[in-house]
Amino acid sequence: MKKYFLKIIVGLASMVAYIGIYPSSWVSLYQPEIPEDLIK
Amino acid sequence: MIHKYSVQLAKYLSYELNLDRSRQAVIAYGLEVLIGGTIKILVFISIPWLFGIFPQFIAAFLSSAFLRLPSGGVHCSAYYRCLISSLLLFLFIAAISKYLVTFKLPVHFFLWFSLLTALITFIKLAPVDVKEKPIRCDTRRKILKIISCLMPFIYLVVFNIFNLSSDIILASSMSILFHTFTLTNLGHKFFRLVDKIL
Repeated sequence: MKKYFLKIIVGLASMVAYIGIYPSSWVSLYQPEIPEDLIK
Repeated sequence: MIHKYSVQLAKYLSYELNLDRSRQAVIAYGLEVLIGGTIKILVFISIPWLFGIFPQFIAAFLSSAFLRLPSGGVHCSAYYRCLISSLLLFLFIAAISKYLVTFKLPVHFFLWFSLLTALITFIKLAPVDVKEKPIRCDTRRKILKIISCLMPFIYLVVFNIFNLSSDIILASSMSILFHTFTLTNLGHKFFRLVDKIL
């Protein structure tokens, strides 16, 4: 059950990261540094 | 702080689920965006609501947010600086538009003016990327420019379809103008100063 819950968090975080992720620059004036893997 | 917690949580998740190191960095980034975004949404709903300027605040915020998606813009160097500066900015715009609406102002003229200014700026400058998230692909850059240039026309259609009140139009117009300003060199200098002050 715990692993299932953790996998949901990982899936959600990965989805947010992979879809381009403008939410950060949407709502705000701060952009976290993007990992190299995502800008390749 | 959010960055630190996101990295720690990503490490824990990677350890528990046996994920590799490159995946860990992506998860940490996703978590940082998720946690930061959630906090911001909560703050952006509760504080304007307490001040009684929620509709104007949301109008200003959304007008800027949808333009920011394709056209980019300047960023603060830390999460809390961004949270404070964007909250203060949109609160200011919302309060001013609520106050100014008592005078009979040509709000539709302001809207046209702000959209025209935005269009000219987008043609010249968009998309404006940052070193934390550079746009390296030329095709992506071109697509973002086209979308940016279409946005003022989409706004015009939306504002014509929905018969919005004057305070909402005023708040949106000011927000569009401010977003346009953040794309310019002067806007970058202004935010460097805000960064130093906060």
